Amino acid sequence: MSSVGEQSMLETVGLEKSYDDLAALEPLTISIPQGQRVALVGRNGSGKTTFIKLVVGLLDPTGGSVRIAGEAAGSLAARSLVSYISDEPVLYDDLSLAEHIELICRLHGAQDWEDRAIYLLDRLELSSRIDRLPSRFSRGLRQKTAIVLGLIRPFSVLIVDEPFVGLDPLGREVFVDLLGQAANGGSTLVIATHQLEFAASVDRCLALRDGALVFDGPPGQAELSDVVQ
Amino acid sequence: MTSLMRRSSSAQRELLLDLRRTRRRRRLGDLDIVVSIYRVYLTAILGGGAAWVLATVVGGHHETSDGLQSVIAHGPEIVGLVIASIVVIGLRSGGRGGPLVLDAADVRHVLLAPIDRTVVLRGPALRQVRYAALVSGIVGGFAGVLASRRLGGGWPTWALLGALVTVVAVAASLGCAMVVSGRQWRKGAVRLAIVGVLSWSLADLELGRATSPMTLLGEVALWPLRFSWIGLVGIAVGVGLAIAGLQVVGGTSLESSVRRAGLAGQVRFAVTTRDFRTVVLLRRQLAQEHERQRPWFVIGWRSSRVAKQEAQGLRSWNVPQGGKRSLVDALWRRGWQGLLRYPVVRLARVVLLSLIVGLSFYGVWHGITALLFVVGMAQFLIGLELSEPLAQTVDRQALQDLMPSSAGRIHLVILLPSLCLMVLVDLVALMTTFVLGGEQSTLLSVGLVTLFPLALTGLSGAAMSTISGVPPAFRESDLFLPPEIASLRLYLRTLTPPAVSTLGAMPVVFSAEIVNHGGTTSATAAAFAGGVVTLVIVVGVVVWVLVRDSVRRAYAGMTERSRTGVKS
Repeated sequence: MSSVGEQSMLETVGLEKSYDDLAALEPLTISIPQGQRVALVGRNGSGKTTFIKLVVGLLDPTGGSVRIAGEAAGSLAARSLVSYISDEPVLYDDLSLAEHIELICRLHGAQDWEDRAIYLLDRLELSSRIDRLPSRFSRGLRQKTAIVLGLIRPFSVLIVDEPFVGLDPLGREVFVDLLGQAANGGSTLVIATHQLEFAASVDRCLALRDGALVFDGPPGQAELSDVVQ
Repeated sequence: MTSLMRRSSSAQRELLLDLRRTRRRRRLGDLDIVVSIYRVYLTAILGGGAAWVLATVVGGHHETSDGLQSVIAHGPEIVGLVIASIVVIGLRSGGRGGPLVLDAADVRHVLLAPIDRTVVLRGPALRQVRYAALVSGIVGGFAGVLASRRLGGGWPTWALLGALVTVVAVAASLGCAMVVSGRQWRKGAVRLAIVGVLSWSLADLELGRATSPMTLLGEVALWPLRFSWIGLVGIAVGVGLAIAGLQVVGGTSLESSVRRAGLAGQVRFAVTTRDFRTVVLLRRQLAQEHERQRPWFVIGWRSSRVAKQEAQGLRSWNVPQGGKRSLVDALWRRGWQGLLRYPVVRLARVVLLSLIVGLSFYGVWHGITALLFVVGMAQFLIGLELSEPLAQTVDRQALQDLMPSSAGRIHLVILLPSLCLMVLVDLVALMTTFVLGGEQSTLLSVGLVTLFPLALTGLSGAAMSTISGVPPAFRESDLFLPPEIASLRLYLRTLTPPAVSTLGAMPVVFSAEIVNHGGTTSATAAAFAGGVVTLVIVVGVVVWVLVRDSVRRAYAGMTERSRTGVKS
């Protein structure tokens, strides 16, 4: 278990999201300390992705607030702290993998990123494709590209939505290892997943059902599997 | 804070320019010169054709002095109302996160990066304003030339002022859109602004005064006839709105940007393939227009009557009585169940379109026959809105194939509830004309004769479009046709449904001709004759709907047999 800092890195107060009369996320108040590894679990339509997009700033909350290290989600400061890897890679059709990496590093002011890029590309077996267009990659390779882009830039909070979609077993293994490295480096991890075996390796589990928080505690408890399965 | 956040905005701009340069280089590398030249050729042909048609319609004869006085008296207000409509389009677009449509990757990577979003978005916003200004300047300049032919005076002055007014109007519209999206106005505020802008211009028109900035800008368009300094205020307000928009565009919501990034490209693609159905669906998604969770009232096996019977113990199990109900009954209910889930905004849009039909009929009645096309398009759009149950069925071919009836019969039956609503909507349209027309008895009788043909053709055109689906870009039979004929077939197929919807206005056109120019028969009889012609066309559409599927299947079977050499 990684050491968990006292400072709240991610905090939501009464955070909610609804679409007309449909509540996607009921008011949610949680606090995640620095360095904590959190698994967000729940069935399809439980509100995991909505929560994640609200934290990242891709959705506007209907009510409540999200703060990243005390800064409002979506603000300039929060954006420099949060890295987001989605289950659907969004990439430029007309930039090569190398150009994507350079762009992301420049956008986020990363320093001395070249060695780190080589390391990540090597681990995810993308080195030979560095000058190719990711738009022509397979689903799994596009997901690996998104992982490289999510991990190459500096961050304090890493948010991952369904991390293993499209990955082969070796890719999963490498990604889990890379997530461990990020956590050991002091980053806060929030990972939305269906897979309880992965959730067992984190510090804390949050379970959502129909947009409401129904479990908040350490993994491995019986009621958690009731919620997900 | 990261080092990047301390970087100057000029460094951020340089970074974004680098990205743009790289992407442009790659795009230019992939550019097909022949395709580009062909596009320019097509644009020139279509633009030239449209210009010729407009020039012919406007004509070259000068207005009489009475006509000129009328233009001077009401021109600014009418031009102002047109400008107000352009501004309203901007306000609506802003309410949906527009006017910018960004690449999804730009939203994900650039807008989520710690870079000032105003720096990121001002560039694309400025380019959009520039492009819109260029296009609108050409259109406005051409309109100015046309105006000079009717109103006299040197065409360069008219063209210059026409271009100036349209450029300012479009820039103001885009500015409004950016202010609304950048400041993230709520829906209610946007609607209030729309009502305010339109009401102000309408009030100017009614009172014959120039108080609204849009009317003031309209004054500029008529400077060759009457110069007034006050027009400069209109220009200043328009330019001010554009500048204000560029200042605040950075505040655009990411949620709207993501939605637009995903949908706007699809809408454009659907428009290029003339896929009206997909355009309608995507536009609804863009506006976040969803069906109601609860219908306006419940019919069928969850109705209050059935629930009451359950509560009283008269019915033990609340499922449909399988086999007892006919397919017609089931489809009739299914049609209503879909219509009863329409959201308020869609119903309001249908009513608005019906008012446009009514106003246009008023114009047709007074001799402006060209408004026939406005009636046709509005009727076609109403038909598309109201034929949603049919579209839902057509979209789900597999489910439709499971029904124990022919596709044609299913389509006709499911349209019946839509037809009921269409009659109601067209009643509103004709009542509008009747009220505007001073409640003349002739107008009333013509309206009554027109009602059913109008509703039937409106829905027929929409149903043809929905059932036909996307026109195929190529068919095997095209191999035997010259390319010009094959492309003509494509255009005919695209234009036939709106043309059928337009034919519903024929009774009013026929009777208006009698009223305005005299004739041997009465206006009502002329309307009746128009109605009969219209009904014959409707019967043709009904037959087409009934036999289309079987003819297609037979043709496909024949083709397949001839290909495989199997004799029937």
